Amino acid sequence: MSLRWRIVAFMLLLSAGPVGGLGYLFRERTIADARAQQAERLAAITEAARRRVHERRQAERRAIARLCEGDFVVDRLMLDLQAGRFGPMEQDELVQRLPNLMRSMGLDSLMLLDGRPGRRHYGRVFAAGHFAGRAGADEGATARAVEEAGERWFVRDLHVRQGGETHEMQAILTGCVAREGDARVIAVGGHVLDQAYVAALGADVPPVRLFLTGPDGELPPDAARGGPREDVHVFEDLRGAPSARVVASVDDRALQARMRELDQQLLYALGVTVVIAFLGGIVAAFWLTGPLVELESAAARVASGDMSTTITIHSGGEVRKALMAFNHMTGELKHAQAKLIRAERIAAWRDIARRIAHEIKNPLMPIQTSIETMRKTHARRHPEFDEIFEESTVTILEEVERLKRIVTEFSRFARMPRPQPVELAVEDVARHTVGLHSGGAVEVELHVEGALPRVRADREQLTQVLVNLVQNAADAARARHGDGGGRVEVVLSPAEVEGDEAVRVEVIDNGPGIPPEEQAKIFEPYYTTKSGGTGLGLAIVHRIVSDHGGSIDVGAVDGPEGGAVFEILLTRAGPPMEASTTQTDAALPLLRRR
Amino acid sequence: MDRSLIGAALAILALAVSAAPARGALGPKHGGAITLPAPEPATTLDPARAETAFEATLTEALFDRLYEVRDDGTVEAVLAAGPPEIAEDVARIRLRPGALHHGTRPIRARHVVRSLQRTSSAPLASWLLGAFATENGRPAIREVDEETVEIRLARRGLRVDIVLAATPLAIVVGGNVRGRPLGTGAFRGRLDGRGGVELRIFRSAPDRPPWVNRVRFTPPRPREEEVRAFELGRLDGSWWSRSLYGGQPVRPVETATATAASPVLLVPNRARALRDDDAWGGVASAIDRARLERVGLVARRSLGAGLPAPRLPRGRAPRGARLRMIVRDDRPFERRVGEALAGMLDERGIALQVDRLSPDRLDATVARGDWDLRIALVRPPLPGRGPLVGAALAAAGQTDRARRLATQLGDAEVAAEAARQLDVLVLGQERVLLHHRADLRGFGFDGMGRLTLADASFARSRPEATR
Repeated sequence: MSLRWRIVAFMLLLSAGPVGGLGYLFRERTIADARAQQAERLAAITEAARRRVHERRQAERRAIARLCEGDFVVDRLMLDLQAGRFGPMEQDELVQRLPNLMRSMGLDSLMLLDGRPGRRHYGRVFAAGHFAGRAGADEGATARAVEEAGERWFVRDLHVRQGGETHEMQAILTGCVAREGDARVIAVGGHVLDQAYVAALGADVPPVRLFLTGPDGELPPDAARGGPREDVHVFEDLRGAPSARVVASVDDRALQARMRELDQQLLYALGVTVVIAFLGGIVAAFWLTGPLVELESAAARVASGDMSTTITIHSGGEVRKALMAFNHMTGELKHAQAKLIRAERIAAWRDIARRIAHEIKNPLMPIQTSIETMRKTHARRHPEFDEIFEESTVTILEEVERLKRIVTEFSRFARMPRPQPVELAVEDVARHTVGLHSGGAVEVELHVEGALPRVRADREQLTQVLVNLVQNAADAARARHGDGGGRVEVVLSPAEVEGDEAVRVEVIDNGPGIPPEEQAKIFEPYYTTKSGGTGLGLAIVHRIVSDHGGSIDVGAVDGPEGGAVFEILLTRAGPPMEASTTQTDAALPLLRRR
Repeated sequence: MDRSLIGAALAILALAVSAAPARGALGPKHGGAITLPAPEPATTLDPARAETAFEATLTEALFDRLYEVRDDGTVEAVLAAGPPEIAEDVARIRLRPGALHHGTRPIRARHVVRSLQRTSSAPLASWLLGAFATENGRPAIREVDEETVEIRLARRGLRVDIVLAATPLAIVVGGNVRGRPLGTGAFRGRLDGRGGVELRIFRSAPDRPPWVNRVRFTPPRPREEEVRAFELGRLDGSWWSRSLYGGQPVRPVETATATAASPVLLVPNRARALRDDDAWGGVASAIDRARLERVGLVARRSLGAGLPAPRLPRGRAPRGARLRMIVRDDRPFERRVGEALAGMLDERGIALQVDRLSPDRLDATVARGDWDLRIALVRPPLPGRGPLVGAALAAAGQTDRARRLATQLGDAEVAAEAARQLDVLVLGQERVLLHHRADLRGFGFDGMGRLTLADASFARSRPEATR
């Protein structure tokens, strides 16, 4: 990770960490406070609801007990029963009257049952306020339950008639028995256990809600809100087993909504912080690392040879000092490089001078020897002077010719023009070159493998390259095989260089090959293994190929026959707009000055 | 002042005073008004559409028939001049000369023809026209002259005078038949639009009923209000109770009661949940008639004395079934029967939903078949078993069978077989009951459950006037 991104990450951690941590602590504290409030309210409401259940039950119990102690309707019924005049009309009147009585007592259910013994009487419904049609029905079980329960309340399933329909409901009932002579009437009343009853407790204050549940206290699915809960009252059946419960439950949705809102706000704050930290980090990173990046860029330029590179200094402090040190260093490097170049130039001049001297010195010796021989033989009036003169002048002329050739080659190498590229087919140039060498002692063949792209190249220079290479190859092959058996192959094939189409030119001979230690020096000027070579041919080839943006390499041919292979890669784009200089350029001024 | 005039006045006064001790022997007292609560909203005064005892009471007071069947079985001409003249299958009936309708004009043959023809559109009365031949789909009844009506009978030997004595065939001369009809009866009447009716005396004679000048039925009110008004003297009777709290009334009260020969049927819809004999038999067996007594029914298994009970399938109560019973919302009696049935069926695990519908909606619902049970009140048009079974068939929606029976009204065997095949449950006979002030005389119910308004009169020493 770069320094820049490390700075950004550090800024993010520095800002988001505290914000997130503090937000989390605030959230937890808020939840804890809200839970404490919920618990407090739940306890208060549960207590109030319990009180109301108790009060209501007491009031209803008193009202039902009063029925048996001297209520007009029950008394009237008892009198009718005693007098034996309770017939259908009296029963109908009772049935008509009972709903009003039930409502006036605030009850949901009221039944008057026959308590007289005997199967024909016991438990028969005189009238039912909650279901007129039950008059005459057998409610013996209810009658027994009332007598068994005494003053206790008990839960029973009850069928209640409302709006022309029968509804099966749970009811909490209690009863009493009125006795007068033979007459015995059982009054049973109570209220329906439904949500309306729970609502009537009046303790339904958000977020605490009261629910009527089954004996297990399980809340209805739509009421399960996940908040704390507490039993307000457990209603029991005749056997004392729980039948229903009123449960106070906290509706946690408001708190959960608040928490979601808080979470959203926290996330929002965190997000804003992260964005600000990121942007701030970016700014800081660029501010801090800008000079370093510039320093890095300048160092790269220096590394690539641009010793004039300097950095404009805008910063202060340590950065300013570092940049000033860099500028100072590059100044020193530039000075040292100038000195080095001068030294190299001198060295190159010396080397070239040495080589030229060596090359020139070689022909001078035969010339000197020939001239001295001619003078000696002339002075001695040597009888074979003419022959010697002839031989010596030939030698002198040959050596002079050699000197001229050396100078011409050197001059050509020094005056190598820039390539004038045109789009051409390498195949045509190669075919032309091979044509020049056909019919000699060495067999020269051209092989084209696949479709070759046209390349931009200087036709003359490319021809010179191929001629040089083929000539060298032919020389090597003949050197090994004499006038028979030497073979040179020029192989053209499509290639690719850095995504660009290219042409691969391979010149393969079956000569003695080039030892690996010589392969590195083979393209240096004046390096030659041939007795009559100038050592500039392959240097020129190397330079032309380089000027065309291509590359040249040399290797050995695998296999028992051996040989050398020169491989050239010519890109389709050809020479760059400004042809690059080669390593020999540094020596050219010296040569040109000469 | 002229002596002769003073003398005449004194003579008249002396005659009046001398006549006073003989007043009790003169019979019921003329005059006075009776105010009674309507047991249900009065919605029609059309005799062809009267279903309940109350509606029959009203139409009996407003209309006359051509003939009447007396309690001893004899037929008496009322609007007819005498027995019909029958030649083969054609009967000719002459109208009684001088008979006036409530418009104080003589009744004509065309009135009779129109009145009988219109009956064909009344579901509960049209079956009686099965006794007459038809022409172009209409009863073959025509006017011969202003005073003679000719009727072609469905078969020879048919007692057309008995058929014409049927209460739904009472003669409606015209007017607004539902609300303010013109009849020929003892009273003229009109609906007050709120469920009440006002009857005013039309036919007044010194020695014949009706005795009271006016009978007003106030719109129905809740039980407690009705009883309170009766006890406070604002009403002259109550259908519910003698006193507000069932105790001793503050004024003398008498109770008129009768078991009307008008069966109450439970009609099943055999095209829905009760299509299976098993289900219908189970429902029928779940009903305890004795428990219906408190809602005003006298438990009976058959339509009437001498008739067999309808043959009901045996079955088990379909536990868990949900049935829909439809009752008329203007008839508390039907609603109470429905609620009582709901209680009984609930004990067998059958949920009965009792829907109260307006008369029009109820008719539409019945026609649509969107019901399981309904109450049918059978109002026998004539004494005898045949008419009773015919009315029951019509009330149960089996009009075609009723029309066929109309030609054999006197055949006891046919009536018995029809009664046996009636696919209904007879719940019982409707018991009618009215608590009324004790000084109302001649007040009660006839054998068909109708209040005898024409015979009612106030005692000559009236303790208190109705406020």
